Amino acid sequence: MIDSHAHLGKWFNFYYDGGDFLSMVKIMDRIGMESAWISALISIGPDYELGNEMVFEAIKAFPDRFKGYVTLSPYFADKMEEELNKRISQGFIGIKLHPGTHLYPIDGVNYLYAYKYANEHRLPILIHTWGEHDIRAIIEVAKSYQNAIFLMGHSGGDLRSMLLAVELARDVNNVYLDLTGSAMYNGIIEYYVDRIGSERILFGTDFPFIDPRPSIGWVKSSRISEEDKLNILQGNARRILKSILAGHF
Amino acid sequence: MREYFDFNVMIGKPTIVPLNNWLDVDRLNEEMGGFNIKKALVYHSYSRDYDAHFGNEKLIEEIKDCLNLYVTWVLLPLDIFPIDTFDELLEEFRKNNIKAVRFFPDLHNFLLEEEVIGDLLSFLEELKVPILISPNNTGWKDIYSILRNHPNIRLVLIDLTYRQSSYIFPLLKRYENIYVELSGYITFLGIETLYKRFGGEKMLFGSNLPYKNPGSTIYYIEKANIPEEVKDCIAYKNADRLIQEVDL
Repeated sequence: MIDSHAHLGKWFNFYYDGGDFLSMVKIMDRIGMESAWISALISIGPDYELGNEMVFEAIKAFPDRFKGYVTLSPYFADKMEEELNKRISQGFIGIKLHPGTHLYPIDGVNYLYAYKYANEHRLPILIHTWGEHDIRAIIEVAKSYQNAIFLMGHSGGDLRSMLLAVELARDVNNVYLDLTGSAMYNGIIEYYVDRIGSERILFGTDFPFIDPRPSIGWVKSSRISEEDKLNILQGNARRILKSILAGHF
Repeated sequence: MREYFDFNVMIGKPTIVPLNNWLDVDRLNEEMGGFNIKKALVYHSYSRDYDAHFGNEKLIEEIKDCLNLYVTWVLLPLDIFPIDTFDELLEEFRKNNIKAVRFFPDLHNFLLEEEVIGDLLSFLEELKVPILISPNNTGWKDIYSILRNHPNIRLVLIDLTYRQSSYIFPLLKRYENIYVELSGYITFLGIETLYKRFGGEKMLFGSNLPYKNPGSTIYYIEKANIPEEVKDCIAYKNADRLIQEVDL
């Protein structure tokens, strides 16, 4: 299994045990999770630089188990180039944006540099989406930057948006639907596979923001073929990773 | 394969059905068979989305031939419920072998205040009937308040979220008969944390069918870093004991 949407650290308004990278590796070993693609929770909160450094520490400690997203803040748009060059040279594999916590629109001008960079370097860019407006915005951005791979975080989150997401993503080949979410609606995986196939669906858990095991059980118990499960749980992420390492998609 | 007792199942067609997620008894039994769920505590969608008592009667009719399914009645304050005396209510409980009740305070527009529901809670407390409430359909202050007045009720917190440990822990620490249904409580290392702090007796398996796939919570339990005998308790034994202890 490869978790393409994971985090690191603590969150400000609820409690959980652990959250450091050692506690994460421990549970990954227990459930057979090969690697997690992470951004630090403090990065999508008050300090993207500190969070990116925390991710770098995790990658250095467990290079085979963690891959890093460079998280960027729209409020420090003038620092994006420097941060991206630094972190990509350190081995980070993509970009993370969180328009929800940063209260900034996906199609806002302060994100444009991130999109251009991802497009130029053919990187994946994981964007938190919640609601119909976010879905429509990421689709439009993805159409404009076709060399970048857009990972639609949570696929819109609420059920109505998730149903819309698959319809809008069908003809936009550089958009992947991300299953990460706490609701884990019964039947949505089957619906997605039926509508778009399993090759553009990515497995993610938000872990340690939430526990990864229920999401795994959800995918493993879904009423789709074993081949489709493999694509979702690891094959698609592996293909993206291979493309990044080869320098092209 | 471990046996499960599901404490959180709805049958019947709900008002909102975007993915055709609803179950009749046959489909429920099929689902349960696929996950080795041997027993389930069930309520009816009509009790939630149409009329509590109409749905309760419908439930009894629909599951009457299923010995593996237990009746959960959705209750309202007796001022607005067709059965309005405790003698009659007890008679109905005995007649229909009702093993649990469920409240939807916000959805059904009533308060969990002593003036509204105090007598009914005392009645349920006496009979040791599990009371299922989602804090998301009332408020945590209401939950705390009813426990202050009725510290011995058997309260099952259902449809929780991963953000609610700060509300749950003090209740588990203070009150003897609080239970956590796990389908929504997916906080990181949640099962391990509850076990470490409060033991394994306070957790119950629930699927939240038809809204969730039972495999989700089952995998969470199966892969938990706790003793196997504790998993047996969470999966089945805790629920079975609660049902057996109902004293009608």
